[in-house]
Amino acid sequence: MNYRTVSTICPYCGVGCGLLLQVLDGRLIGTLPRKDHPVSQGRLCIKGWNAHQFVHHPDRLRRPRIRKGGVLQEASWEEALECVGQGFSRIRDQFGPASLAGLSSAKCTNEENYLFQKLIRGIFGTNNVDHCARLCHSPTVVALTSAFGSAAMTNSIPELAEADCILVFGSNTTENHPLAASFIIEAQRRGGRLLVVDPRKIHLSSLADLHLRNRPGTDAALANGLANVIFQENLHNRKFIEERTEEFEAFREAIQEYSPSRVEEVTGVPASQIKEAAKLYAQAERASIVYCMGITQHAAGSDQVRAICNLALLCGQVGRPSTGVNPLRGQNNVQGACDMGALPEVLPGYQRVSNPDVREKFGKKWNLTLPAEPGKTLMEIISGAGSDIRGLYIMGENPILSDPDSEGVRQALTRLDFLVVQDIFLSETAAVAHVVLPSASFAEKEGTFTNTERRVQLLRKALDPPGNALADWEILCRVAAALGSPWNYQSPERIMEEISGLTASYGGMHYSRLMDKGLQWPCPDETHPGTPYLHAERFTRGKGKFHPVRHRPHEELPDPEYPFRLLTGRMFCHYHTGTMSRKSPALSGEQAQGYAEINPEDATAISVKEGEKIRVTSRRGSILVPAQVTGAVEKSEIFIPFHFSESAANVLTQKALDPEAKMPELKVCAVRLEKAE
Amino acid sequence: MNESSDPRVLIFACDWCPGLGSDRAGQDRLSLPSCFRLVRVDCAAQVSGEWVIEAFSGGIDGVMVMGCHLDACRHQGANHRAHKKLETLRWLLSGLGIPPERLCLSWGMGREALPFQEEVQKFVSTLKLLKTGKEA
Amino acid sequence: MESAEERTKSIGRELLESGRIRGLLAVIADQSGARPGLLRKPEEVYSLVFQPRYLLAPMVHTLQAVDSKTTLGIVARGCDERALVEMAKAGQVDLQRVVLVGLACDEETARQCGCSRPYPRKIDVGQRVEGIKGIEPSGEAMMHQGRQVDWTAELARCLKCYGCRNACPLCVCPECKIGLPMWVQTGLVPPEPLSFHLIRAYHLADKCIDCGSCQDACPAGIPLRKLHQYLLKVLEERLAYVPGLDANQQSPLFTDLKRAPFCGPEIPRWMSTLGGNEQGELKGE
Repeated sequence: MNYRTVSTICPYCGVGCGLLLQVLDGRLIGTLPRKDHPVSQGRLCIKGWNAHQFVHHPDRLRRPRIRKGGVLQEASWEEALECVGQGFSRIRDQFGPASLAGLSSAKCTNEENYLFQKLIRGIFGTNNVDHCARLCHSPTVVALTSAFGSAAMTNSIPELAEADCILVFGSNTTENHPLAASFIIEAQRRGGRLLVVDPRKIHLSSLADLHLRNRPGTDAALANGLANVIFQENLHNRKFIEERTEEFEAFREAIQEYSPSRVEEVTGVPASQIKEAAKLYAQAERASIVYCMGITQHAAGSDQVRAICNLALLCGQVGRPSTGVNPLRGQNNVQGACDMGALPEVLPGYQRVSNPDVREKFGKKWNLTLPAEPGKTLMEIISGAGSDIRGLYIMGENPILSDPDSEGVRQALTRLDFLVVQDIFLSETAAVAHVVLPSASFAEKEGTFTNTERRVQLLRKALDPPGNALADWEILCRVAAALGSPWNYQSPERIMEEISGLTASYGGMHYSRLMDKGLQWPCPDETHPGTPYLHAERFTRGKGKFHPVRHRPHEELPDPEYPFRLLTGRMFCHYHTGTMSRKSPALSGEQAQGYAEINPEDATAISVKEGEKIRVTSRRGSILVPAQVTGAVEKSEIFIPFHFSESAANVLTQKALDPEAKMPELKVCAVRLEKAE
Repeated sequence: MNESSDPRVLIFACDWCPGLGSDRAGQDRLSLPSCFRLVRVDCAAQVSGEWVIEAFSGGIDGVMVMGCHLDACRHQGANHRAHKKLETLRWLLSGLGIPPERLCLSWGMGREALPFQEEVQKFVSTLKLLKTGKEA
Repeated sequence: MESAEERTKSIGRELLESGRIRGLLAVIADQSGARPGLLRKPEEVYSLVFQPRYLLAPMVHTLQAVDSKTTLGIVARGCDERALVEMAKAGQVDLQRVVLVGLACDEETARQCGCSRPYPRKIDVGQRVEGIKGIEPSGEAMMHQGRQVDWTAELARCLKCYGCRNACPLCVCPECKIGLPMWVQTGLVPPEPLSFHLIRAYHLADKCIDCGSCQDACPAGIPLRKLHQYLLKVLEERLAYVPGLDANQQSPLFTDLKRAPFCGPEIPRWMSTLGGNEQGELKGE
């Protein structure tokens, strides 16, 4: 009877709650919340409570697989690694390093992401490395860097409880970041005001003081409208603007045309509400903005985020506790994956690959020459598959379900000469690979995750991985060896030592310091206590920068052939492409199949009743999905969560890109509906 | 009588006393409010709290549980347990602000046709009063 | 003078050394923080701590389900003991195979938990402090006013994490009803308040031991405990029953009115139907 609890971090969302995995005789039997965790404080959401359930699922990959005769067959590690080594080397030697690419994993640890980009850059010899942040918060990285100089949540999650006003843009917080919503709810209990901007009626909007129900993609216009009112009413923070910002004039001019009545026309939000919201935000002592996919997943995503930064600068709501601009990062370690440089233009710590000094620093440490040319982004890698890109190494990512235009992605991947996928389950993407490498889940390895409030936290190993599966960092070391460059890392702790030596913000992140509560970066050295909120004295870039932003309509608008607008998103009991959540009985028991939220009038118009299947078609493809008749969506709009492969929302979505962030417009596209036969 | 404003009532009646009463009320063609549905159970003790809760959750205005006389239960006083459990549920409902009168427990009243009719009519009037009392 | 923690460690060490218990459930601490654990060897007791307070009783059930023969030890606060008593009533725990190291909570802990009985019946460690009496008047007044608005607003914040149910030591039904679509619509958040929360409170009416785990686990800060405390108070007043105190005392909801009648001024409706010609006597009303 060997029973213990192991303190670790939740593998689902970016809040990074503290978990205690219950281990009985080598098996996980349950999850308990950690009472002394600084954010989760003894609470969890439905996903966190069931974080253990997928770990022992019989479908876990246990052995490597190699495609022979068109079918994936089990193989030994030696065989698989040899195959991987030869496969990539051959392509590199024949077609050049730029014909290879890698997609890293926002679910893997910092150490693993670090090694992955080191492999792609140092051994493949290309900067073609990216990951799914491209699909969610790449506009955040672009916009926050340009406005503030730091691409991360400015404040900390628990601080939200003490905000006097919280303005939530495009975040279904209670469902997708429940333990962050916990603090928003607490703020309301203390008398704080909650303003929610969302085209749908969501749980959070039902709790809000004001629900600004705007048309999809009009958030920049709305933010400009709020700014307009704030300026007209003289509620802006002159002192702050003068002392701590620049480029205010251009911004002021740009918002002049965004009068409440004009903004009402564009957004559909009544002018009176715009005025009320503006005053509430501007007059609050501590006002926080929280935002998520609702504003980033558009071709104008970067601009929308900039518009929000403008608001915060206008009112001086940055650089103090319970204020700020707070993106809620999706994956458990997407912040870390970005910090570790699993991105085509930057090395760890956002140091630019185009900078020769940076390349020299890393090159010296790694004993490698590093490529100078920034690489391709995720969307470019996929679209180039089969032509520019011939070999692709995917770690812990499922592009067929998470990228727009699923069918297009599948075809692109099958055009590759060589595809290696490393995962814990045989995902839809792994199923089309040439080699599949089985990896360990979060419960089966050590390492660190960085949550959305920049907190670097330790994972602890609770049990061994199944079969012959290995931790991703171990696999990467072996792949490196198979490619002729053996690495000698003894443990994730040693890897982090290397990382902290090269990355200023992680300078003080030694495992001995991360022990039970983690540390929030920037943490430049061993004595630094970590940083709860940013930009206190000065912005990372010096002064905060205003950017004039104009409303840009969507690329694909509804038209007579495709008259409906599709909104995509998530729901509370599943996570992203469902690889883990749909293998968890408690979670799939809540929602076993996909659905489409459809307005009652629209349902009647096509004679569809609750539960009956609808055929939803876009220019990219068509799916069948059961109807959920609800007033949560407006007429001519439907909402489909993207978790379910058999009714995959991304079969329908389009690839229009944000020009700077290269973020595809996943949030909306045009579709038509019919009752299914 | 205005159909739409009548309170909707769900009655659980055990097969013995109230079962007889409802049968006879039917045979005698006694006038009963049209807004109730009757569900027969072997013993009122089968009516678990969840059924009542589901009924209220689904929009039923009043639930009535009719069983035998407290000393006449065929199943060794199972109706005592039913009474205590459902009484507990009534307290819980009242704690949440749901008027306890919406759950009516009746033991041994429904054996004859007339008492059955009276019980149901009394309950419906109580419910109507609750509704108008609320609106007033 | 030995500290309470030291005393607990020596008792634990002794119990393990003598072989009387196979393991000791306690809160242990190391660099990764404090968390519940099972101490197997006497030398492991050095890591024993008291804070933060974790309810350890549910783990007795988990471990006995795996091995019903060996005896376990548990550093038991008042709430742990009450939970074990109720679990024993339901046949989920064999009290014969549990050795309690009775820990009386200190004043600070008792105050933090708002506990009315911050001590087990037999205290091995710590000084008994008096608990916080009952539920606050405002809570009661709130309920008896029937101000539905409060509960409607509170329950509307529910995130359907099932934390209340998961954390509760008495919520161990193999097939929990509130997770079944038949009783509570799945996939919906917030869940229908009447179904989800009412069914849970009702099922726990005669089992809740007021440990507060449900409220501690609620991310939406819903004052769940008030709902349970209210019902417990009603049960105490009307049926003279308090769960968790006596493993031999069966819940009145399982027995007839002769053995466990109502008390207090309320005359149940059925009295009027008796007519006075019934066989047998009835105690109380």
